[in-house]
Amino acid sequence: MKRSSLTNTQGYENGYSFTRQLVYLLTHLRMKNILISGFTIVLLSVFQANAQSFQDMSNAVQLSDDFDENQGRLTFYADNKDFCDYYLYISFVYSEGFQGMTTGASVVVSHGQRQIKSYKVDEKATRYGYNYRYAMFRGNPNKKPDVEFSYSLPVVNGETIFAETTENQEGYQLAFELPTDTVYACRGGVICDDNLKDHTAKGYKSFSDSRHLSQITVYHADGTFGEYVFKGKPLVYSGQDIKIGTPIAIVDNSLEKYSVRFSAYFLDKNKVKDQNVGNKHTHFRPFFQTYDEGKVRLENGKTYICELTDEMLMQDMSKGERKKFLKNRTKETDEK
Amino acid sequence: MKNSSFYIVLFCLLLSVKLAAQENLKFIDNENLLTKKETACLEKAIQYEADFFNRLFLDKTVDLSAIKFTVATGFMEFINVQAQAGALHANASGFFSSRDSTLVVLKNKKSKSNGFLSTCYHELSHAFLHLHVGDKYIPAWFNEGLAEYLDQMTFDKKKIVHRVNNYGVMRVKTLIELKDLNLSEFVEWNYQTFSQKSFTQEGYGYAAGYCMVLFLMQQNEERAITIFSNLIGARSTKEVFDRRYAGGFAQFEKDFIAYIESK
Repeated sequence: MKRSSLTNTQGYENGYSFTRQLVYLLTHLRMKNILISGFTIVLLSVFQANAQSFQDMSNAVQLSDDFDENQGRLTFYADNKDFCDYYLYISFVYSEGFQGMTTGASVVVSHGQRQIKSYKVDEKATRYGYNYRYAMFRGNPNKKPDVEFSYSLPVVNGETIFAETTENQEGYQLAFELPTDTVYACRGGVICDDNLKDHTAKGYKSFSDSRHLSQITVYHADGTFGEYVFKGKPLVYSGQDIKIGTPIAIVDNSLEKYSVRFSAYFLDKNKVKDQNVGNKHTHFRPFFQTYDEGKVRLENGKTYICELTDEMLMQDMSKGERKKFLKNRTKETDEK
Repeated sequence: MKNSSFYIVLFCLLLSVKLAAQENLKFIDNENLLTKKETACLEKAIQYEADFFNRLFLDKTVDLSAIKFTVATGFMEFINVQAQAGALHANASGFFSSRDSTLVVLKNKKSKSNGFLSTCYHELSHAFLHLHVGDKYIPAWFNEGLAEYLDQMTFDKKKIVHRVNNYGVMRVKTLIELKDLNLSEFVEWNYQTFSQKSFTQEGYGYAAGYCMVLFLMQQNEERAITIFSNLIGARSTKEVFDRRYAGGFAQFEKDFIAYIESK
């Protein structure tokens, strides 16, 4: 049997295209030339205003550029409104008059606004222009997923949970049946803003809104994401730092059970390289720590008992945090 | 609901005779569902695959007119035909039913010509393999891996070329980096496990099977053909490799991983 292709070939079609025509006014230009240049600048301003309105404000990363005529320098800025990293690729379809402006540039941007690239005008050039497109993908392809990390089941330590693997176009996904209405974080990290989107629509509400589902995405320290989809109410907000085992949502009782779907994925550098691949993220099968079977990759249709140990809590901690954690643990034990 | 699908019957000039490389196969396409280019490519593909399988099964005589080819022009028709054949799967774009030697491919407005042809080549591989081996056991990884390999052939230019499926190779490369590829277990998967794991893990089985066939064909085509023909009816892939691959299955695993990691 031949499965339908899971990829699309629209890798960069959703990027944005901008053209800038700049005229460098020399102080000794004759009046006719100044008038022509002025007219061009007016056109430019109109075009610039229109170009800016093309940007979709729900995009996680807004790209802008600024040309400093005095310094003869063009600077690109990225404003990442989300709380996780984004990989940004700028492709110059056309460029003239700028030093070093080659076919493309890539950069990873974290939360906030920053300058990402700067180009100086070529001293010999009398006219400049550039036309670019950009694409952005949630994540950081330079980070290596920690495949040995022990995830916690999304319930309280010692509780039992039923797990199934679901058929999902995007990849591996687990469907959990919870004993109570509370979902606990399988791993710590920062909560992302799922109302924002990238050019693969990962993170954006790609599930059916008509089913009134909620989604929480957590960005982990190793560049992976944990995605929780459920019917209910999140307990966390975008930008919040959480730890493994933190309660993150209350789920509704639907058909007499509490359910949540969980996926772990990352921005795959092997896919980022290939422009023909539209889906840049790869789902993977994380290891979960269980009381009954130890550290395992979950199997379809089985029940497991959650085990959350101090070693698991310390996995994402720095040396200093671990030292402090152990010191507090010892203090608690002594007090008992 | 009106059934707008139709049957194209493979037409052989000489029935029940071993196919020689110089014979030409023709399609009868009464409802003009295929473009001229598609028809030409399919005829070349059938010839190519017939020759390929003749290399695997040297003394076998087959009757190609036994294969029926159905093009479903609507998604619901396709699903109905699938269900009737007991092979229902919403994510499939084609299938081969060994019950009645019918291969069915979906071709609707959403289908791109390349994707449609690719699916045809894929299902043809299943059809040819079944025609040659009958009820003998074929390891799932090999059946699907070979079909994936053959569906990447290009027949629209002067030279017949295999176009490497980079997505499949990169998928397997990622699996190796995630330490989630266990070839020893993978080659023993039955069809149910293969299907279940592939449709829940982004085409795992198809990508891994394809890469194994690709590696063997690129490394040494004659040895690959020998290994393939020995896999038919063999219950253990590892035993075949132990006999036919220098250094055995363990060496094959190392060589394969090194090959993928170099991509």
